[in-house]
Amino acid sequence: MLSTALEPSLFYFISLVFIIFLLFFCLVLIISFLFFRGTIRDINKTDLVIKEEAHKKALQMLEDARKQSMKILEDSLSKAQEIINETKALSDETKRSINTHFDDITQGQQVELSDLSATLLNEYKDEIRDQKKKNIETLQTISHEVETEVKNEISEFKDVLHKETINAESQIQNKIKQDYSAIENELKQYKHDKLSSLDEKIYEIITLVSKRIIGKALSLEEHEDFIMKVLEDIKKEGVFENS
Amino acid sequence: MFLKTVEDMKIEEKLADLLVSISNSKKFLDELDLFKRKFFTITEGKGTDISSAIEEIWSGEKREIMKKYFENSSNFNESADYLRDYILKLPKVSLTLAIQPRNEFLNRLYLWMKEHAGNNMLLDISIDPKIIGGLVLSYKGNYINKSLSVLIDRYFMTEGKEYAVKLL
Repeated sequence: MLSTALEPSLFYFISLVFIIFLLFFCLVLIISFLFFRGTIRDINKTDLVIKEEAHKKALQMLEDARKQSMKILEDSLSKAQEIINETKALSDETKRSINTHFDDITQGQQVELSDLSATLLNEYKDEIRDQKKKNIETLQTISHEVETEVKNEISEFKDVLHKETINAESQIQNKIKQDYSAIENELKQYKHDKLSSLDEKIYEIITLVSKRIIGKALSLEEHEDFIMKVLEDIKKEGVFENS
Repeated sequence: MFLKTVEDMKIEEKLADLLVSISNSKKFLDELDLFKRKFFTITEGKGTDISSAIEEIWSGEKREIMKKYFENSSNFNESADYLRDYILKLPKVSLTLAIQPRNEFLNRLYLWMKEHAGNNMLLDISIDPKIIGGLVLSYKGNYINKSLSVLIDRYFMTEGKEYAVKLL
């Protein structure tokens, strides 16, 4: 399309320019490569030299440092030895001084302790005395309370015993009354039964006797006649006179 | 107010003679109550047919007496109450006997008492075989024991004392 759109001469020209430009670019690249390869090689050589020198310097510095440190250590040891020697000398004196002070302090403490012990002992004795006194008072109070309590208990016991005795007496009285009432009822019943029995017996005896007296049992007519006869007797006694 | 005529009084006496005893009078009073109830039932439904009410309850001589009593009455209810009152107020004679009396003997006793006491009355009869015979009478405050048992008791307390000791 492009070849058809542009003129063929223009197309060839542009293509030629483009190719020339492309060749030129490649030539530049090659030259640059050759140039930079030599430079890099020089740089690598320089770098190796510098590294070797640095290594040597470092070794030298390490050696110097080792020597200096050994010297410092030796100085330190000698100083330390001196200090130790001085300290040992001082220590004996200090020890003696400390012992002296310590003895003084010990004696002082003993005296103080002795005083304190005496004070404590006295206080302890006082305390014991007070406590003893308090205990005696407490015991006296307790014994008094116990006495009061026992008296109250005995009084209550007496009351309860009295009440119980009265109750028991009342119960016994009630029981006796009940029993007496039951016996009385039984006796009444017995008396009633006996009297009824006696009545029956008497009635039988009287009937028997009446038969013996009259000579035979009364007939209905005889009963009626006897009643009328009795009424006549009553009339004679004047019962109906006022009617 | 209910006014009693001579005829009424005669009817009452006849009625008392028919009743004789308290037990009969109680029965009659029950019948009189029944009559009142029946009579008022009849008057509410059928009118004042008193004869049918009397005939339903009483028979014989009692029926005739009651018819006569009510035939001249203007207030049946008041007449019935008055009759009840009369019966309740009749004097009573208490008699205790050893045997149950027959009706004839009861009438004989009633007539004898009426003759000698002089009034209409009602006999209050009670039976106690223990008196053996005779009677115990209680009338107008008088108590008279004429029983055979009392007579025998008296005998044993006096003449027959020695026999009583032997029997007991």
